[in-house]
Amino acid sequence: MLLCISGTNAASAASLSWRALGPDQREALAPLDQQWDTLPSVQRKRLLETAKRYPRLSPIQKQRYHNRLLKWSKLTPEQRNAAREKYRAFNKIPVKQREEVRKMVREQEARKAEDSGNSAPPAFQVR
Amino acid sequence: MVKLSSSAELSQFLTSVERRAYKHAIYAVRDDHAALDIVQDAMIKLAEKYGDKPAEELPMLFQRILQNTIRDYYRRQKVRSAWVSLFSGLQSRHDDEEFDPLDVLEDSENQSTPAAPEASLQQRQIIALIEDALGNLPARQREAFLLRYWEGLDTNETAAAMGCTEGSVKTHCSRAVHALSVSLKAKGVELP
Amino acid sequence: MITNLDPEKITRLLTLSTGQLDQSTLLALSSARQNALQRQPVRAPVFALSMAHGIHRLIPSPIRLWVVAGLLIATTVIGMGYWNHVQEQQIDETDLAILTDDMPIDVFVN
Repeated sequence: MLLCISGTNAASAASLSWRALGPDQREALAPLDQQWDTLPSVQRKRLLETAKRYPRLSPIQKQRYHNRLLKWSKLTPEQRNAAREKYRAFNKIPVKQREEVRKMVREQEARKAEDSGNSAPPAFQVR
Repeated sequence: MVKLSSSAELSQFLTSVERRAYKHAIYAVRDDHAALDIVQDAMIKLAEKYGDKPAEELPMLFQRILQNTIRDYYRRQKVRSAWVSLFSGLQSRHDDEEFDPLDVLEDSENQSTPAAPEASLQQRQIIALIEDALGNLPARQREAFLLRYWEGLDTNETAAAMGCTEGSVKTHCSRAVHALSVSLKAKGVELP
Repeated sequence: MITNLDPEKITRLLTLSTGQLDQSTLLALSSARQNALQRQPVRAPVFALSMAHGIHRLIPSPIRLWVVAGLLIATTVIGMGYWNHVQEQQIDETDLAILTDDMPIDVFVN
């Protein structure tokens, strides 16, 4: 067991480069193609772990995954840790409360989407 | 072909509005970091999305963007406060330096450095009280008041910037003026 | 009976107050302006906007980043063995969950 763990940890930097990735991995991590090789290797390994499950995600989950990768990768390790803690804490609160928050956030997102839809002010667009 | 705003024009425009924009934001959110973020967001949005618009369109575009950015901030805050009440222990606490008009008042009273020549001590105190009263107005009333009277937009332009009807602009404005009058009178403020 | 104030008297004082901003605020405004001007050439601003919020907090301190990365590597090298392995898996699972949950990522990110 230990051997196997240290084996994965010792994966050489070369095998983490964008060019060395397989087609499945590249598809999953496509939004990061430009910055992949600049990311710390710890982060790349972590992302590769999540990418393993990409093929089994539902279409909407795949879309979310793609939309969020870039932002996620730009956070500092501290911010990512804080986010993980929050996510876990969120999933520990009673289901009822959790659903209330989910509902509120969904409503907010809907309003935001509506707003950005008409954020180009028609009155001032006249040429 | 309409002349598009050059980088120099955009720079000049932003320089001319940034202080007032910051004040707009601080009256609305009462947090100097958040206010600076809002102003920067609005500036970036203007530069990115409308940086190629003719210079004379910039003022209205910017007001609209600024007000939208402030409203977005309110929405984020609303979700966030629900969040904080759920598990406050996890929330990082580096942004609770609230803007307190009383601090401003005290500061100006105890200041060792002389006040800026253009505003007397008494004026500063009055300004702080006005800002306090403005901060206590409902968001839409404050928005309408500032756009209509401070930015000098007409009701039609104010309605466009706020995304509401001219009728509600008029209502918001008259309520705002009344509320400010009541609040300042209660504090014994006589405007020069 | 309260007589309504003249709005102009109020706004005159507000304008006066813009002359009283402190030096650090003026500097911050000027740097915000510079940031905005750099973005003027029209590029696809997909992530620029969401990143712009709280930009001065998002800029990673290289020292902190290296300290955290260093700590991560150190723990790996020392090898907490199996326990470590399980934890790693949990992190990966949480990461995937955050990246695919129907709650937007901003909710979990400060």
